[in-house]
Amino acid sequence: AAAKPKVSNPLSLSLPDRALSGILRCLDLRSLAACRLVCRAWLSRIDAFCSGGACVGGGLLTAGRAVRQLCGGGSSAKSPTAWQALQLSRRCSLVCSTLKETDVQCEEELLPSLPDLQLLPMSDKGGRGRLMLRTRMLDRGRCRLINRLLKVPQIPEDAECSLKFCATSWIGLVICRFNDGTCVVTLPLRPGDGGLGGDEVLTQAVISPPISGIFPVVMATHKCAKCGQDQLLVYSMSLAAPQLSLWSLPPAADSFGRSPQVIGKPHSVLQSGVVGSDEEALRMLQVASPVESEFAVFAVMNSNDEDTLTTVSFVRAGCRQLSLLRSRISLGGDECGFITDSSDGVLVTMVIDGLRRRRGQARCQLRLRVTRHVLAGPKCTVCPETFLYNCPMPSAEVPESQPKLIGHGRQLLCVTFMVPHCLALYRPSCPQPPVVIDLPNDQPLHFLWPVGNWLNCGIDPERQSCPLLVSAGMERDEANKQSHLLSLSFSKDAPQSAVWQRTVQFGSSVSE
Amino acid sequence: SQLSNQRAAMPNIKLQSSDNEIFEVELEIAKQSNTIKTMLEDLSVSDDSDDPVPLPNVNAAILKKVIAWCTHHKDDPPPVEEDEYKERRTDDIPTWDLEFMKVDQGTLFEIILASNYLDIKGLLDVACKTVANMIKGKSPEEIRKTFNIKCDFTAEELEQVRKENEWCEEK
Repeated sequence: AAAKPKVSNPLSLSLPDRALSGILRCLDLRSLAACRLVCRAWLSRIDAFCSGGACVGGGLLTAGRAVRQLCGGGSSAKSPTAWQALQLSRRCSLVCSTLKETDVQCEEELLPSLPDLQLLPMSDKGGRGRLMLRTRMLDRGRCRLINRLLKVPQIPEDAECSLKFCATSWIGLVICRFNDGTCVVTLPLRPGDGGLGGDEVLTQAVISPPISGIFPVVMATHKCAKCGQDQLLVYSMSLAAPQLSLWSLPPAADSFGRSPQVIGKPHSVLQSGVVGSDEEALRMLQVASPVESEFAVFAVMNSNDEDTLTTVSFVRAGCRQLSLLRSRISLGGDECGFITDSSDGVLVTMVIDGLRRRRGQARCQLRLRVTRHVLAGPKCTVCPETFLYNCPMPSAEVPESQPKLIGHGRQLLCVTFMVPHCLALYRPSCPQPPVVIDLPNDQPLHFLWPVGNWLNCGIDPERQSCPLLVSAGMERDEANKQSHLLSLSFSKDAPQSAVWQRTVQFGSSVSE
Repeated sequence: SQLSNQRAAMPNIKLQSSDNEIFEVELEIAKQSNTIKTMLEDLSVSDDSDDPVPLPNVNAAILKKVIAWCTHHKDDPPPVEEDEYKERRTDDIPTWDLEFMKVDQGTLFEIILASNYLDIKGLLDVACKTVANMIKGKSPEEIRKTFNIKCDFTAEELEQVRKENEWCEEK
């Protein structure tokens, strides 16, 4: 006769670890979470399973260690539990397995929840201006908190301040508004010269009087090959036409040195005929490497409401001098486009050329137009290509909002983010269609941010693979604030040969 | 027993359950169990040996089920090691195995214990997936009901665990 079963509870103590792990590994995070609420015995076995790591393998241990290191860094940081570490590893694993055909890497870290940015004007005992800056930045692959006191005598205590980071340099830009006017302060953020490490540093320069009608504004910087000084390009929108100005910045003052230097006016200005842009529509970045040239080439992009077209212009920055290289190439498309630099002298832009939604259907169709701009001396060859991207999506969730295009530095990569859970990655070295990542509904990436908005992707020049996207958020309550950071990155640059091959294969090359 | 009558050309082996029932099985089928395979190697038991291999942790009813599973899966390719890092799917259980696993909970867990002891990866995987499917998508209360478990948390403890869980829940 059959013996009576001894066990009828799947997580009972008599179930061996291997069998337990076999069950738990089949459960999604939500089910695991539900199991933790069943009874004390289940909770303790699941948490032991998570922290043991033996069942989940090295990945969990690695993720857990990384998370602990990160969270252990700050005094207010709370170590994550093994349970949270497991969740991280699962999420990473999900994205990694989705991306296995590409060389995109995924990292995820749990962070103590911090405000993205705190900027507080204050004064010392003598009434001299100070700025307290707290923000998060990516430094050598780690997200860290920057907490700095900046001496800026020109800024009164009641100033309203906002801060911007340049997407491709170490320079931050603080815009301060106060009763008597506005001024722009540049901050050096390099480690070693008081950037990330210093407690109290002088700012690099105060640009005053204000750049008129300062919002919206984008900026880019480069080091002049001739004089060695940082040059700041500010593309600002005013009620009149937008203008591009170049400011040559003095070296950062040390803490025993002089007050920050005030620069009265820009060293060079270019006016643009385009009107009516918002900040999202303005983009600017460096295209050609300045290493072998005394000039740096910047692309300036603008989507405006008037003609619903995205245009790009090329500007050359010499020593304290700006000149127009190529003016207003129309990219088409009414959606704020995308711009990135790639290999030297090649610029790739992407615009959304059409979005078709059909009610009741589980797909919407997106037409993306990619344009390659090949710069060779004063000439610019424009190679357009268009492709369709079918975005699978439950019909109930077809987004009302426009998809977003997010560009990224030298990695030659385009990203389309469709609310709620869909990403398309495009890079010329990969075969079409773009890699599409459908994120299951039970594992959402809560908030996706282009790196430049929140973390400075160019802040760490030693980092081999720059993050492409970060996802942050999940602050649940005041007492137990935590957020997490997910970054997607390419492990290496796209080989240049691949770029050229694809230009021949897919581009209907049009020389202008 | 029933299986002892099914003599084939393949060499056979005798397995003895905890309640002393003897099962005669093809050697290749029995060797799906890494435990039996190792025992045979370690004990240098020859193929034509008449001594039964004792399996003190498996009773006759479960051993019969296990042999049935191994017989059905005797031509399966060896199981591949999966990436332990990622969540495993559970919607890929073959139809025959689904039917095979339609047993009461007690038997199901006995099969898990037996396949773990006998080290039969394929059977353990299917049994674990079956249990996982019984848990998936259920609320804590539904899980308790399914497995007849009493909640022994205090209200405070429950609240604490809920808070920890929030991290993975959708907004």
